[in-house]
Amino acid sequence: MIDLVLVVAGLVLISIGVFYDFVGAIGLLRLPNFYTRLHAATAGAIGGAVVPMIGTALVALGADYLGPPRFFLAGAAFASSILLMVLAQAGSHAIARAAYISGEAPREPILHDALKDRGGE
Amino acid sequence: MNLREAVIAVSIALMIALLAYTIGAGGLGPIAPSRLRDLAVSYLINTYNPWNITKSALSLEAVTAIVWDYRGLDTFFETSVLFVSIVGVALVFRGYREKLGLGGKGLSEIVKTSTKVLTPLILIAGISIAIHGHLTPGGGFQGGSFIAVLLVLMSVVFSLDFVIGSGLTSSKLLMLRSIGLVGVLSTSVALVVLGIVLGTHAYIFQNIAREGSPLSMPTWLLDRPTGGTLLFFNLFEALAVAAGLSLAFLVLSLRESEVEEALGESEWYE
Repeated sequence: MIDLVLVVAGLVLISIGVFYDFVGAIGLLRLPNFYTRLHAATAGAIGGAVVPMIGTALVALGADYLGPPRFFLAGAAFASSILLMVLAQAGSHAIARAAYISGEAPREPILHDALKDRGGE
Repeated sequence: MNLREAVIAVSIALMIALLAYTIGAGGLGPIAPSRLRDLAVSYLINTYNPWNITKSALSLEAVTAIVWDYRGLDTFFETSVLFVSIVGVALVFRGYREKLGLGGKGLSEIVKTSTKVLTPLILIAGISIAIHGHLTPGGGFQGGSFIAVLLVLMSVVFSLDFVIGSGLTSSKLLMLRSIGLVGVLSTSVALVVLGIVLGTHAYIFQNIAREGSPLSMPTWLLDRPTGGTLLFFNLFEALAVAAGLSLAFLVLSLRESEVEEALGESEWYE
């Protein structure tokens, strides 16, 4: 019973990941400027990679027929999901900051530039 | 989307599907031969074979056994290509001086914090890849290049000033690389020296006892197989590769005012 719950929960998380990847791909193609597209890519990284990786860990834990190696699989998936959660945001932050400070990427269309009010840093 | 783009998309998808079907049905030749060659069979049987120790490497990983035991001398010259090229890099830039306080603050606080989390993990993963080279895929070169990423990452995120200021200067890296190379060399001749002392025969790069040379390296550490020389080779190779690649990167990323003297010297030679 608990196995079934784990597998179903894992599959739900993987489906959420598919949705985020789809939205991220559309956003990467259709959004107007660099920063919004970067936002779409980050949604794809966190929602489309971290969440389904946790789902994979749950499915592996629930899949009884895989035997003891399923714990390695689950542990590796869980650890890499946490690492990616720490690193994906740092990477996109660095890219966005570099693009903002160098001024290479056009900022329009823009509603409010909070960073400009604070002096650009 | 106009008609032209739609046609292109459909034709690309159709080509991929047809190619996948052709390969899957074996149209471009067999995907993998169904029977192993005799050489492969002999390696698979002998790589870890405690019942026929004179042909075995006592390593659980066939690739590492071939690379550092069955063709160890070959690998040594292969790996010395890297070390010679690093000596070449250091020679081209001879006369440079590492300076502190040339500016460069690194990236923002968010990136620095995540890199601080990541740094020990990269080091541990690299060491683990290196010292498990005889058990799992990986080995000294792979682990060493893994660790070398650390200096690249630190110099980008924390700035080159931080790297040099924290003591990772090129002379120290050169010393670490030399320690690794001396380790590789002394591991390869360890049994020869022991054989001379004990008055028996032994080969260079010998790992386990062979016919006519009964000496062999220690193959078990407590309850773990070490693969004899393979553990030492992987360890020292990882040290040498990590320090060597870091040195090459450090020298190549020096600032202009640090290599001024080196450039002036080259003009003097002309």
